[in-house]
Amino acid sequence: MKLLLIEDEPDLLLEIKNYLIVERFLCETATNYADADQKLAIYHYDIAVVDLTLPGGSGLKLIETLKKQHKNTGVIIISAKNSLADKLKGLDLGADDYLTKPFHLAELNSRIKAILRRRKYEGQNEIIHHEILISLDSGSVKVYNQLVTLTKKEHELLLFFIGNKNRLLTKESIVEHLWGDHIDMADNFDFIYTHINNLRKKLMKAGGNDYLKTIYGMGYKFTDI
Amino acid sequence: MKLIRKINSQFLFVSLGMLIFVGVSLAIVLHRVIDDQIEDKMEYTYQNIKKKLNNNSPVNTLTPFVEIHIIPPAPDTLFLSESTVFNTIEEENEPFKQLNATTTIHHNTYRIVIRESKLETDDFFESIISIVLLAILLMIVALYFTNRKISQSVLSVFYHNLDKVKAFSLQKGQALNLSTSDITEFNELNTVLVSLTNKVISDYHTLKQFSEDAAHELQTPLAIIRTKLEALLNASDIPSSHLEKIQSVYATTHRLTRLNKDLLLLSKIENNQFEPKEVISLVPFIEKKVEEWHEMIALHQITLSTRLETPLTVKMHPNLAEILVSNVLSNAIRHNLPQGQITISINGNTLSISNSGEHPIENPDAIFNRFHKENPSQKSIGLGLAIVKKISETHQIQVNYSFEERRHIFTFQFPL
Repeated sequence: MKLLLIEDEPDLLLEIKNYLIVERFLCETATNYADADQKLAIYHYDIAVVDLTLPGGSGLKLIETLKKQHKNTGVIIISAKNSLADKLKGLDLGADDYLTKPFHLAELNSRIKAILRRRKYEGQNEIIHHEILISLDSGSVKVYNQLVTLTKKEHELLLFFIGNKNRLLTKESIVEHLWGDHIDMADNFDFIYTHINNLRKKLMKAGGNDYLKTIYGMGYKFTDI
Repeated sequence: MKLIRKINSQFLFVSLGMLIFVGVSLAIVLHRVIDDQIEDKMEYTYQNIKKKLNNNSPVNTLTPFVEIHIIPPAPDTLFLSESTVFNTIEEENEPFKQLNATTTIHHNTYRIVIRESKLETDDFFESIISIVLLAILLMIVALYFTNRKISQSVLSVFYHNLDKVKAFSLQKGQALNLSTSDITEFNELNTVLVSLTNKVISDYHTLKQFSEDAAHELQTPLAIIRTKLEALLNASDIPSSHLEKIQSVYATTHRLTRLNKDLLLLSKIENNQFEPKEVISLVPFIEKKVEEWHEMIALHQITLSTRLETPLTVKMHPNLAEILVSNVLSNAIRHNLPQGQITISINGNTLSISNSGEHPIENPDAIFNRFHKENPSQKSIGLGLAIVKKISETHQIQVNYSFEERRHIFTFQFPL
């Protein structure tokens, strides 16, 4: 998978790139409008991660140009401006998602994967992690071909974990992934624990391995064993 | 005291003094003049009598006005005095001025008494006092009507403008548009008020813009810090003692991020950036939030009951409706007792969300203030209810907190 990361903050760009390279994405970067415009015109990317405020022009303009070229590139906007107008305009222009800075890298990763799933895996809409099989069409989860009934949150949690394998997922990033930005429960992480425990129990009851590792005080890691 | 009454009472006070002064001076001066005239008249009569006595002409006497007696020889005297004489017709004592003279003519000594009634001068004073009193009365009546007239004509512009100034609101951001009048002072006041409010409006906008810009500008540095920290947390070669510190910095950064997002949200609501408003029903939002948090509610062993039969529609942006419901509900969960209760009910145009509580909160007036924390040890940001309040204010929703029967109750009265 080929990605273009368009972001004018080199520090942020580097970290995003480092995170996504581990996910086996081929990452190219652009730090200004002209550079990004040129790269988007010459090469084909599966995903473009676009910052809206760039030296030399607006990210929205890039998206507009990109969509005019009818390239099947998925677009995620990342912006410091949590502006509804920008968000609506971006989505109108054909962007697939909108993330407000600061975001968790795991969140960005999981959104990129969601877009790729929507765009590419039509027909074979499944995620497989060893004995675990998630069907994205029906939303069912099977362990060793045995159906496991998960709640909506547990399902989201499993997808989030598998999408960010072998990574530490902090409690904070899990809360924001499941409940969004505005939840004022950040000081109370007990209930994530309950969710994760339930998920772990259900998977293990169906004969699955315990992939979920608790990193004490920080969060959780979904390992490959 | 109204300005016009203040001015008029001063005016009345001064006029009253002046009228009294004029009345008194008039009385004194006229009194002197009349006295002089009476004296002249008595002198004249006396000289006439003396002339007639000299010529041996007969002299008419008329008691009590002219009395002439022949008395034993005595030296000549002439003096004036006051006296009273009983008036037999009106049966009362009347004041008189009298001239007493002793004079010797042709070897006869006469005592001559000439009297003039002072009665008419007293009448005179009474008339003056009546006139002055009448003038005062007339003046009060005239002032009363002039007041009304001035209030209606001259001051009406002033009152009109005053209403406009009272209705002035920074939130609306509309400049003052005051009516001009032909009174210089009022126009000056208008100019000052308009320039003052314009300055305030512009300062307010600058400030609002600044807080929004500042919050925005913080997002990118926060993003960098956070991603770097996440990378550190994921690194395999960090000793655990350092990891703890990194974790602590990470958690603090998270708090800072949330704080910044909440502040940004507040300034966005203030800047009316949640447009367009739609007519939406609140019930689906409540149901969605209850569904989202049912695990959390279960975890705290809270019993939640809803009475949402009547639909409640409200004109607002869906995001704000969600935030409103979300913040109040999360508040009810967090500040609940173990095994407590939450009740959400809609009654007409009123939504009420209540939860169990041990004691009424100490400072109910401050509950909606920014950064107010009932319990300072809490880790919450302290902006949740301030956001609720701000959303309510911008949508004319009456929000109220009360504590009854061991329950914290928040009620929202939506505009019809």
